[in-house]
Amino acid sequence: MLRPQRMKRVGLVLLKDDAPRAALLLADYGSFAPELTEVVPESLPELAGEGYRAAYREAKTRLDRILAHFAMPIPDESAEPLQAVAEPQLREVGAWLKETWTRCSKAEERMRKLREEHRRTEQLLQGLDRFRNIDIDLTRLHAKGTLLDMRIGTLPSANLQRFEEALRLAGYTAIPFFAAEGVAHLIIAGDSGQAGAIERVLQAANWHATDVPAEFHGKPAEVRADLTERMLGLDRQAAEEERQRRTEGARPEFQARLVAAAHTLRRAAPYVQLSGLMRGRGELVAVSGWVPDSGLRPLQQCLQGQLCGRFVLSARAPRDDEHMGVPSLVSHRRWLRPFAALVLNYGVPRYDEIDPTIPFAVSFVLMFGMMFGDLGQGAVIALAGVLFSRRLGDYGPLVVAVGASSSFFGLLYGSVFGYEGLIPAVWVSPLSDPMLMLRVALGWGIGFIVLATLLTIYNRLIEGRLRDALLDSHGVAGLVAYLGLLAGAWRLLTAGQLGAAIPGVVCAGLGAIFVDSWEKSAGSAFAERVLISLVEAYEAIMAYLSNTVSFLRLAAFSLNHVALSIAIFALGNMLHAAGYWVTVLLGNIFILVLEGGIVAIQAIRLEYYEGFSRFFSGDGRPFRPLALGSEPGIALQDR
Amino acid sequence: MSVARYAYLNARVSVFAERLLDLDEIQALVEGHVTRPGAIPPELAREAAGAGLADDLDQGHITVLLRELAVLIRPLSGPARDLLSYWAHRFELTNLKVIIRGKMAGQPQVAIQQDLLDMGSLERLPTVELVQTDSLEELLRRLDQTAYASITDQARQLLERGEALFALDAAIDRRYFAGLARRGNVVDSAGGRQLRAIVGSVIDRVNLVWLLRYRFAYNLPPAQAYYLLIPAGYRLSGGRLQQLAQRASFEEVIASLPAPFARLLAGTRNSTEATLRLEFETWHIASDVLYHSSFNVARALAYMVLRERDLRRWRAIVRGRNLPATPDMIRTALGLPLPEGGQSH
Repeated sequence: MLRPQRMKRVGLVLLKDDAPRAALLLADYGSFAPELTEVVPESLPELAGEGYRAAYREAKTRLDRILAHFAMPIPDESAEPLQAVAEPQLREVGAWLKETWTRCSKAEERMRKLREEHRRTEQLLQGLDRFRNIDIDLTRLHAKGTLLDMRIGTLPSANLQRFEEALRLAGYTAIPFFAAEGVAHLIIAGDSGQAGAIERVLQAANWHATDVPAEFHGKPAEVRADLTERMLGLDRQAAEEERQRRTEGARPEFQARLVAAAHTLRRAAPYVQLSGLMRGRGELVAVSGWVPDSGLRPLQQCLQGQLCGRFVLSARAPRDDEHMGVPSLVSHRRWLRPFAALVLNYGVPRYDEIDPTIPFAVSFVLMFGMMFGDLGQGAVIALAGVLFSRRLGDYGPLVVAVGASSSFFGLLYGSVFGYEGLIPAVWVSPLSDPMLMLRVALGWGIGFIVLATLLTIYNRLIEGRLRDALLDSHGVAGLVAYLGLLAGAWRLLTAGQLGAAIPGVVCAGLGAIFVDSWEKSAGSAFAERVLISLVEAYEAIMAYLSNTVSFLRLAAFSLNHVALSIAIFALGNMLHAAGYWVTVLLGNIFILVLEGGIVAIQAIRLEYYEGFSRFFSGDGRPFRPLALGSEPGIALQDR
Repeated sequence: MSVARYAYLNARVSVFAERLLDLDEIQALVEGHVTRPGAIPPELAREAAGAGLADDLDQGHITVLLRELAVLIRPLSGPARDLLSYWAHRFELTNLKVIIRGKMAGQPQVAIQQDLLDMGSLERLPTVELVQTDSLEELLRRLDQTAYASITDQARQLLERGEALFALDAAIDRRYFAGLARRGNVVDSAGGRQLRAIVGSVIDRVNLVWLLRYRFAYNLPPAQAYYLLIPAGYRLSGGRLQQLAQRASFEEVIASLPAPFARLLAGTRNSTEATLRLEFETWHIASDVLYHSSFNVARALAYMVLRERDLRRWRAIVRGRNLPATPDMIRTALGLPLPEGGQSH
């Protein structure tokens, strides 16, 4: 429970034809993290499943686009039996998806054109009044004159200035008459003899010729009606397209086939993932991976039952040189999962490292309670954790735990919804003895840091870093110096003198840190080494002391909680009966939300910075088992 | 103020600048001599030592450039960061053109993917998504959702008319350089003037070379040739470019150029030679900024321009040697002076 599960490196050799089925079994088994096979490439030079992967990728992309086109959710997990997907079957599904997507893509293109046409017509309608103000006969725009070439159209406004300059070079002139949404509407006119040259400029400038109604100049009302009718027609076409899309998407047989295709791809995904790590020769392929020690026998049985002995499964313990690469699988009871998630948020424990989830959970809950001790408010938090357990998901137990802890400390402090004295304090009211609270916080901090340092020493011993475990500032030497300092402070406060032994202990610890740092800075100049070593020893002591003082916030927040409640009651007392209760109610909500949030952050901060940063490297490799579907996630197993 | 703001950048550029090759080192490389360590990135040097390397070298040298650029833009923010990131963006234009061409030619996705450059963290285009499209229409619809939405409408028109890709390529390039000019103008911090000198020399060079090419290689009419130029100018204003576009021959354009272009391009016979000479001028300006100014963002751009020059020269030398070409042929291709006292820049 305090360390990631023991792992075995397994190698699986099987027939190529059985590989998709084996991948599906391994994904369903759920505890096989694939690795590149250990077999030397010369022995198994062939890559497996390249065509399969390409077919899968294409089909998956098209499926996602089809689902987006019909605004359909991703189909639920299938309850159908786990049947492996052969490449021909995958290609068949891919072909249907391609055909379907081609149809959808054409529909999307038609809709795009309709929208584009609608936008242009709308702009033309807006520009109608401007047309009428132009002092030329627009019907001449239709007539191809022998001398004068006139045209009407649009281009992006950004191109306008350069376009006008280029037109002038060809003896043309431009009359912009309307601009909207980055599009300029204009009339151009010039010598017909230059029409050929101007065509190419128009093309380069992204010119769109405008279809001008013949009656434009004479009957504006009719023109407006014509354009409006055109827009309505476009709207009708768009509505028809939309109706067709909905109709096709709602057809049961289409939906059934789409869901079947999604399930086929889902069953093909494990082999796609696994085949990238497979190597083979002829009819044989090999794959390797990590399996929890306890899962080896079930895996063997599962493969035996399904592949009828057509495989070879080998297993071995991790070698010393590969411990950094062994994935960490942390397993906890369900109620610990939110705490494990917070630990993973900081980092993944190394394979050999202590998994800090349990110490984290215990200390986090206690620190929260100590800083936010209130029987009533704690009960509200716990109740919220129960009532909203579905919405909170995995975090429900965490909310219940911190609420219960808050209630427990509220009982000790005699605090109920901010009222001090409503019930007698089982232990002490924080404001009645702040010094006691500070002493308790200091003691908690010392205990926390000592525990964190002991865990550091243990982790380093496990990793074989004996020297670091003994001489480093976070090792035995640092701990000795720290405890020596604490003992010295205690002696000074109680007996008024240090005694002879304590300075010796502190100096021994600091001396060890100095020597360690001196050795590590070999290669630097003498003065630099002295400086580095002195600063290292000084920094170690300062870090211990500042980290310890940091825990005084436990007392500070418990006092703060009472002080906030007093402020709310003071405000309430200025009002009449109803105003008093409203103030108390809103004040409690304010404390629950704001102070509760701050206290939670402070507790996490203490855990991460005063605890984890000491002993927890967090650079382990997460256990990512092969899973049904596409993307494997970090495994957090229930016990 | 700028000293504190650009202290890190200045130091990084100065460290990087040690990698730049001077003329003697380039000459030594042409002769096949080993240069000092660090000047040529180890991965490129290794590739050069292997066989059949030429095709991979492009991706290699872009990777080196992007890696160094990522280091330089790290301490920057605002318009300066935007400009330097945008500078690298032109490599991605190559990807965009490859994808469009591939889709037009109906190439399989794998084949298109193989021709794409890896932009690393500086990638802006959703390349994978674009490659996975099934048709050109779908590709353009996806492009509508990117910064390239402004060219998709034009692309559709060109494709409907069955026009050549030239116009689309020109629109993409033109849009890129217009963006570069715009970004160069908005940097007003330390080094803004030097920055505009470098960007301006690039814009003027591209405009002039394009004008020569469009008018006299592609025989485009003056109006079209002028329209296709970048809508920005530094020493070559819009009015001047209009005048040049109306000249009837290559020689007339060269003869009508204002200073300093008249001097730089005197006797030029074609647009390739003009490109080489104008590039030398850009490098000269960049060197001036790099070695005679400090604590400004222009030095970073100057370094990138010069680093790209070196890597391109290195690529040309390696390719030349593989052909095999003689050292003098390589020198001529690079515009380097010949040992006997040939043409010098």
